[in-house]
Amino acid sequence: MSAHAPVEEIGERPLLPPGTTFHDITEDVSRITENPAPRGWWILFMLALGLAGLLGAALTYLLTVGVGSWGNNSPVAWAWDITNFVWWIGIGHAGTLISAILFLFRQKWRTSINRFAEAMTIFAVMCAGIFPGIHTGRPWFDYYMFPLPNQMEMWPNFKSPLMWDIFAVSTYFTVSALFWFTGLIPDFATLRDRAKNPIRKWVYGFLALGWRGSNRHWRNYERAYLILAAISTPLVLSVHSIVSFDFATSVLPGWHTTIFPPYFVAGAVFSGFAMVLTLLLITRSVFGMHNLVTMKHLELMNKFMLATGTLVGYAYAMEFFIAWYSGNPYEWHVFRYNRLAGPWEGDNAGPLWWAYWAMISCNVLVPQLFWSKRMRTSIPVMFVASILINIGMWFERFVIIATSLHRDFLPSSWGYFSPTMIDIALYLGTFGLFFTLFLLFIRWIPMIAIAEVKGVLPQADPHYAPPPGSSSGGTDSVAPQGGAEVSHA
Amino acid sequence: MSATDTTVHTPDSYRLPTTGPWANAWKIALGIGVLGVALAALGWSMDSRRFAFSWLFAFMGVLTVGLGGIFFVFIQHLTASGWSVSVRRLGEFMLTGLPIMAILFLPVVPYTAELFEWDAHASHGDASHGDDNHGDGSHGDSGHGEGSAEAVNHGATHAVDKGVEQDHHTDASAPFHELHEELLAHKKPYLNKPFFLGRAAFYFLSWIALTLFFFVFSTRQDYSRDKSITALFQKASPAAAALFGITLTFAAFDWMMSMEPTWYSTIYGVYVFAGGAITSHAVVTLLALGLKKQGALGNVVHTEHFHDLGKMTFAFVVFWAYIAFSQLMLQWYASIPEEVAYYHQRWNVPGWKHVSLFLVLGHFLIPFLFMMSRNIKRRLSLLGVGSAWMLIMHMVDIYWFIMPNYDRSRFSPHWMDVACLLAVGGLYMTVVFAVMRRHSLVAVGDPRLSRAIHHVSG
Repeated sequence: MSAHAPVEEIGERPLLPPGTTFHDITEDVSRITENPAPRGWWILFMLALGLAGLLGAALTYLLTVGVGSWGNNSPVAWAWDITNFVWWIGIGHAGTLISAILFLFRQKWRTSINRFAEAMTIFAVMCAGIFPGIHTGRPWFDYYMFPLPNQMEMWPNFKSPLMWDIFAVSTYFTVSALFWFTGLIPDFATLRDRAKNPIRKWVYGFLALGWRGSNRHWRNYERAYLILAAISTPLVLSVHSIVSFDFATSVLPGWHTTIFPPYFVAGAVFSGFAMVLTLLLITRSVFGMHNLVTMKHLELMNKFMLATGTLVGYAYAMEFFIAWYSGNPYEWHVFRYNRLAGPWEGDNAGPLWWAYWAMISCNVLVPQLFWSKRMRTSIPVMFVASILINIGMWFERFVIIATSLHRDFLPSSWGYFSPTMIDIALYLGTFGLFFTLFLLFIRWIPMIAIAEVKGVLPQADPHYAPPPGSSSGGTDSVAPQGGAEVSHA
Repeated sequence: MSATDTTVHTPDSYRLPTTGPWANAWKIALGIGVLGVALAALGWSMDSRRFAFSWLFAFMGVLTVGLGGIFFVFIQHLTASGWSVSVRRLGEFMLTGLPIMAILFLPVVPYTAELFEWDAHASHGDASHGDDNHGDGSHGDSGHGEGSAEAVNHGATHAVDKGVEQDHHTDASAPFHELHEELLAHKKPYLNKPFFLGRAAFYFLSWIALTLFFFVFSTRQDYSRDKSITALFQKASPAAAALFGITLTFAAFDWMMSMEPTWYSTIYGVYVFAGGAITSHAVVTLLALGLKKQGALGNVVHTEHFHDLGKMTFAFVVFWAYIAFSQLMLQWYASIPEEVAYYHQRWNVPGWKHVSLFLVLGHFLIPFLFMMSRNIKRRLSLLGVGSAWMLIMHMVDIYWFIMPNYDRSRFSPHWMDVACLLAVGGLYMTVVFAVMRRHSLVAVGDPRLSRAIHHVSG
């Protein structure tokens, strides 16, 4: 017996159901892109496209009328714009963590979800990028944010965290897209080789960059994959750290605190896992991929949400403790009265207490359910929890932004934020963009990394000996020569 | 490494050699410890305030190594890690020194008024207090040439000290606790001696409980080969992680951050954790290298494990830099007086700037470039150099946390720093090495041992 065989007594199980062959995986994944789209896909796609149209309309209106059409006004100068930006960019982080960091940590289970999560990253970053772009007020001057040589000698303000965002997010998008595409090459070749329609063959052939599955190709591919994973790893931390600097470099109570960078990263991974889970549960059930994304994968994702949710809870606790410990009355006021105090405290309560409590309930309390194995392995529970966590993480950003701003240093200037129709339409519209891209992705691109999943099958182990009396795993055009190294590298 | 593993691993297969340097390691450690205690006692009789600071430095330096050991052990169970079974016992040995740290904390107790400004505040007015050793450039005395540093540091926190009498605002030579009377009164519900000692007791009880849990059950598994023990560890490790996180954070607040009670940082617990995490991987590497050299580990630990340990050390070096940078950048950028005073103390005070720069280079930049290479991580002598270096730099890091509070006007190293480090480190190692003699050096009962032996790092 191989030393790598699961030890059942300590809870180890095979990743995929025993008897899964290479051919099963190719079939299960490729089929979705080859068969006609189910009716449900078309309904969802039309809905998503409609919402994307709403985004277009809202953006057009915004550009015509100006950001005055938002509810933002002094003292709440930032509101849904930056909340949505941070929320979307955070969603993306799980994808990079799963594809890069878990790869470096040799977590073989990532292979069933990494492609999916990474696609989500890329689309989420696209949605995120819209908001800082339009919140500048005159987006037609946004190109000033790039250090373009010009005769006016106008340069970006490199001391501004918003500037750092431009570089962090664009780097993140570029590296994520490259990493995603590199991983796709062998799978595009599979689709090319299976294609019957010449146009399909040509398109996938073009995308596969001449992949022939030779030993040399695999060696180069794995090297490139490892290097891209190593480059992506610091990006998981850097992007959301820099997003947190948008707030933490200020001197505003509620924004300025040193734990923000790691706290934002933990929160981003937390919300990203929740989003992956929401989408994965639906897709898995619609396309019947229970053999590729098993309960083991789902349970591990729930454990990740418990861990990151608790880390976020730690950060909330540290902020609160230090708000008191620091002795800074303004800091304490933000936490104690703008956030914590509800109507039960009479006049002490701020108008946004409900947002704070929504955040605490969804982000800290809900994931605690996952201490229980029964809860971790219940599909309805994890589905509801993942949606609540996404809501909670949106509220987290809203709480940070709005509760710190709405009751500032001068009580006479205290205010409140109410969104306008344009605020709402823009936010809903980004869902349209996201789901349009996402539905196109699951329709045309192998949503599970075929070659990588094959690499973690027992048959891919060089020492594998088929159990007596059973047929060995089938092979097909891209059986992973050296696939075992994918999971070991 | 063949795929078929026919070797039988018994609890006696991997034992500390009865001859050679390891056999008497505990005696050597004890000798060092006793020498250190003797020197520290001599130092204490000469200058008790300096002794208190040096002892706290040594205590925190060694304690964070032991706490890193807890992290090393529970993270393997939390992640159900198979590769690390070969070296996990070495991490478990690091825990066994933690109980003695509770005893080594005792010398700190009578000196809280010297060490922590908030206690000096509480004891204010007590005529018998602290007038014996204040003549050597102690806190609150800015009569030095570099007094401006002191003045800025103290002036910095005035913003929130509204109730202090006017003359104190202008008189920076007043003792710290008088300057910040109102602020310290605000913090008194947390920063007071009974609660401080109560919390300390809670931390030590938690750590001792974690030590007993992880060490006793793991060594029992050597004989019973009971797989349910591994399952138990995996089940309990999330709760262990939570307990560890809370106790480490507040111990860091209590024993280091509160030395400057007007300063605060929410990331501080993570900062101290990051240092311990590097050091635990470095120490496990060093122990494994030393034992392997004597042949005590057979073929259970090999280059692949060292490579992975090196990767983890490298990763935590980067993590430490990330956390350290986050705190520095945010406090520097915002430049709020009560926060930035911390870096002012470690940059604008003569001598400390060089220590700060040394940390940037020695704790991050040099090991980052050195440990990045695959060749270095797989060349064991070089990996040993890197690990030993990180252990030294960890002590510098802790020194940088604590010692600027001894004399706020200058960098003042003292021979007692070394003496106390020898004392605390020697006694800690005595326990660890003595326990090591009685147990298998490898967790031979773990059902994944054969997987760990066949591990390929890549």
